[in-house]
Amino acid sequence: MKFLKNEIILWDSPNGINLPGNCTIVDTIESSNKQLRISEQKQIVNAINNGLFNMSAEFIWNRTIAILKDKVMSLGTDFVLEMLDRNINDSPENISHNEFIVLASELGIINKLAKKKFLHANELINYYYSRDAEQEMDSYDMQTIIIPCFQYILGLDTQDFTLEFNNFRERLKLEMIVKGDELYELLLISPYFYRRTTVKTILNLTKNTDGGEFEIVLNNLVTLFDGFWDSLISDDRYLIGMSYSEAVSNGMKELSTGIRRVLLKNKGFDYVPENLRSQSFIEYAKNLKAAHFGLDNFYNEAKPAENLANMGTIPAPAISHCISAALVSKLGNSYGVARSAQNYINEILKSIPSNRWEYYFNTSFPLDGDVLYKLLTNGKELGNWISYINELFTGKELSLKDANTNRLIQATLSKNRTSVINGATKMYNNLGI
Amino acid sequence: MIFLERIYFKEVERVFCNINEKEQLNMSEDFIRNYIRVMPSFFNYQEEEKSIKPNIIFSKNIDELFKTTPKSLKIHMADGDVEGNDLKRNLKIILPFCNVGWSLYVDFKKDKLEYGIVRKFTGISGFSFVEEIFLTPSSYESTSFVSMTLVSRFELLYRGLRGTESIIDFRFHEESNSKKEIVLEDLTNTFLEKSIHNKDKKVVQAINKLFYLANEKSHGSIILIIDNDCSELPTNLFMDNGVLFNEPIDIVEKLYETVTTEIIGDLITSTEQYYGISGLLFEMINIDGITLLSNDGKVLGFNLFANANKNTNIKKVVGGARKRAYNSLLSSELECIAGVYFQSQDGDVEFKKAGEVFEK
Repeated sequence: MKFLKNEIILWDSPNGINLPGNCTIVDTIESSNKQLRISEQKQIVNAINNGLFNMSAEFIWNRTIAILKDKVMSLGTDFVLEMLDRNINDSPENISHNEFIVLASELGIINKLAKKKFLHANELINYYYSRDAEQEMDSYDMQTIIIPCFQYILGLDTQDFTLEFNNFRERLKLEMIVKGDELYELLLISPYFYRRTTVKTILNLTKNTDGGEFEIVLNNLVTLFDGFWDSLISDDRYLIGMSYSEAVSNGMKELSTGIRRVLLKNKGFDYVPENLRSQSFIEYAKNLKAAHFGLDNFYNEAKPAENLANMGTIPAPAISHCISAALVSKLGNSYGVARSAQNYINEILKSIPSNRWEYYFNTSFPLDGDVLYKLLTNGKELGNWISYINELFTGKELSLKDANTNRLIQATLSKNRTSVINGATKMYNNLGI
Repeated sequence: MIFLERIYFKEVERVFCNINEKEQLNMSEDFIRNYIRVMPSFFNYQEEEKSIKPNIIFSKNIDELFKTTPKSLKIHMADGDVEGNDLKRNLKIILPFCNVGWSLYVDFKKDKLEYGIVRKFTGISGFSFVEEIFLTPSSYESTSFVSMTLVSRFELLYRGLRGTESIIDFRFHEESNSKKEIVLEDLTNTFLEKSIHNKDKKVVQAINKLFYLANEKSHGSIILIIDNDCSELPTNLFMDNGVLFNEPIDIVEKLYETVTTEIIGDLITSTEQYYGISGLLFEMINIDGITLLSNDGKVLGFNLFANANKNTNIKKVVGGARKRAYNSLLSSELECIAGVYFQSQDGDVEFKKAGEVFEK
C-alpha cells in the first residue's frame, strides 16, 4: 500500500520507461526495444522507412496486446471473466482489447496515462482496419500507436512487470482481516473501484480455495462485506446477492451461511434475485460493448444491439450494464456511430422508465468509466451526448442526488461543452483507475 | 377391588411447554393441549389409506423469514383460532401436501393462527426452506421458528432457532440409533467410490439429497452396492424373480449432465430426465426386496431376493425378513460386495461396508 499525495492506492502500477522527447520513431524503437526479436525489430524499422505505417503499427499493436493479455490472464481465466462480469463458461477469446486495457489498468499492470493512450490507439487501429477507413494511416497516427506500446510494454523486461495486485489477493487469501485493521480501514476510505475489486476478488476466491484458505477467505468475506455494505452501489450488492443464490442452489453450506449473515445484518435480501435471468441481459450488454470497442464496429454492433433489444424488459440487476452499453453505442466514437445499430439502441433507451434512469444517474453513472471516458474530449461523442441528454430530459423530471452528476447534466442541458468536459474529467479521475 | 393403572406420557407436555417458552412461540395452553392430543397420530398418519410423513413448522412472523429465503413459495390455506380447536380439521386438509415436498406451517398471529404450506425451489443439490433458515439460527430477534419432522416411526424431532433440539421418542426403552446423516453420507460415498464424478461437490451433494429423500419416502429398504470391478456375480446370487437390467441405468451421469448443462433447452430435458430416473429409483427402493447398485454410480436392478445356498455363501439367519436378508448379505463375505444399506420400517438405518463384522 502506498500513499501518494492524497491519493490512496492499494496496489501500484508500473509507470513505463522514460522515452527521450526529441528522437525519431526509429531511434525510439531501436533504443527502447526489450521484447521484440532483433530480426522483428529490423523488419519494423524497414517497414517504417518504406512508409508502410499500417503494417508496422498493426504488428506492434498486436504484439503489445498479446503481452498485455498474457499478464492479465496470468491471474486466472475464472478471475478475469468474473472481474469483467462475464459468464465463467465464456471464452477469453470473446474479451475485447478494450476490456483488457481497462482491466489491466484497474489491476495496476499499466497506469492511467497508459490506459488513455492505449484506448486511443485501439480506436485508431480499429478505424484504420475498418471498411470505412477513408485514407491510409499517416506517420503521426502510427507514432500515436507505436510509442505507448514501447513506453509501457515492449520497452520493459519481463521482470519489470510486478503484479502488486497479486500481493493484495494473497493477503485476502492468507491473512485474517478484522474490523479496525489497517487494510480494512484503508478499503473503507479508498476510491470505490477498490471496494468493487475486493468484492469480486473475494467471491472468486471462495470458488478457488478450500480448507484453511477457504476459512480465511470466508472470514474476510463476512468482515469486509459487512463493513462496506452501506457504501456499495446496487450493482455490487446484486453481485453478492446472486452469489448467495448460487451458493444455496449448489448446497454450499459454509459459503451460504457466511453470505447469509451479511445479508441478514444489512437487510440485503432484496438483492437476491428470484431468478438469474439478469445474467443473460448482462452478457448481451457485454457483447454489445465488445462489438462497439472491437474491429469493424460500425458493422458489428447491429446484431448484439438487436439481441439486447429483443430480450424485453430489463430486470433491475442488469439495468446499469444495459444502459451503459446502449449509451456507448449511442455516443459512438470519434469516427461516428454505428448507424445500423441505432434503431435497436433507441428502442432499448426508450424502454427504460424514469425511475431506472434516476437509479442509473444517481448510482452507476458516477462509476461508469466507459461512458465518462467518451466525454473527456471535444469530439463527436460529446456532441451526441449533448443531443441525446437534451432529448432525454425533455418533459422529464429526474431527481439527481449526486452533485457531480447534477452539475454535468446541467452543463449538458446548457450545451456548455467545456463544462461538460471538465465535469466528466473530474468524475473520471475520481474513479481512481 | 382392582384398580386399573393408566400411564400417560405427561413428560411430553412438559417438554413441549418448555419448547414453547424457549422459542417464544406464545402458544396458548389450549393449543398445546390440542396439539399434544394429535401428536401421537403423526407416527402412523394416514389419509385415504395413504401414509403421510408430517413435516410441520411452528412460527411467529413467518413472512419475515420468508423474505430471507428467495425462490420460495408460501400458500396461505386457512385461518384458525388461537386455541387450536380446529387444529385437527386443518391438519387433515393440509398434511397430505407434505408427501409432495411441502412443509405445513402454523403461524401464530396476535388473534388467530395462519395455516398454509411453504416450499423452496432450489433444484437438485440446494437447501430446503427449513435447511436455509437454520444456516444462521442466531440471526433472528423478532421471529420464532420450530420445525417438526418425523425421524422414524417412533421419533419426532423438534428444532428451533433459539437452540431447541429435542426428540420425542415414544418407545418404552432407550435405543441407540445410528445417526442418519452419517449413514447416508457413507452410503453416498460408497455409491460414488468409483464414479468419475466423485470429486464434483454438486454431484455428491445431489446424490446425498437423493438418498435422504428416498429414506424419507421409504417404509423400509435394502440397498446392496457391489464393486464394479467384479467380473461377475456368483451364480444364483438372487432368486429368479426380480429385475436385473441388461443395461444399467447411469443415474450419476444423468445428474452430472444436469448440473453442468448451460444451454437452456438441454438443461430442461436433462433435468426432466434426471427427475424421472430418480423418481424410478425411489420407487425401486420402496418395492420389496433388494435394490442393486454398483459403486460407479449405476442402478443394476431391484425387487431382488438373496438366494441362500452353497454357491452364494448366503446363510440362513433368524430375524424379520428384511433384517434377515441384510444380515445374511453381510455375513456372506462375498468379495463383490462394497456395502449394504438397511432401513427398517421403524426408520432405523444402518450401513456396513465390505469387510465390517456382522453383529447379532
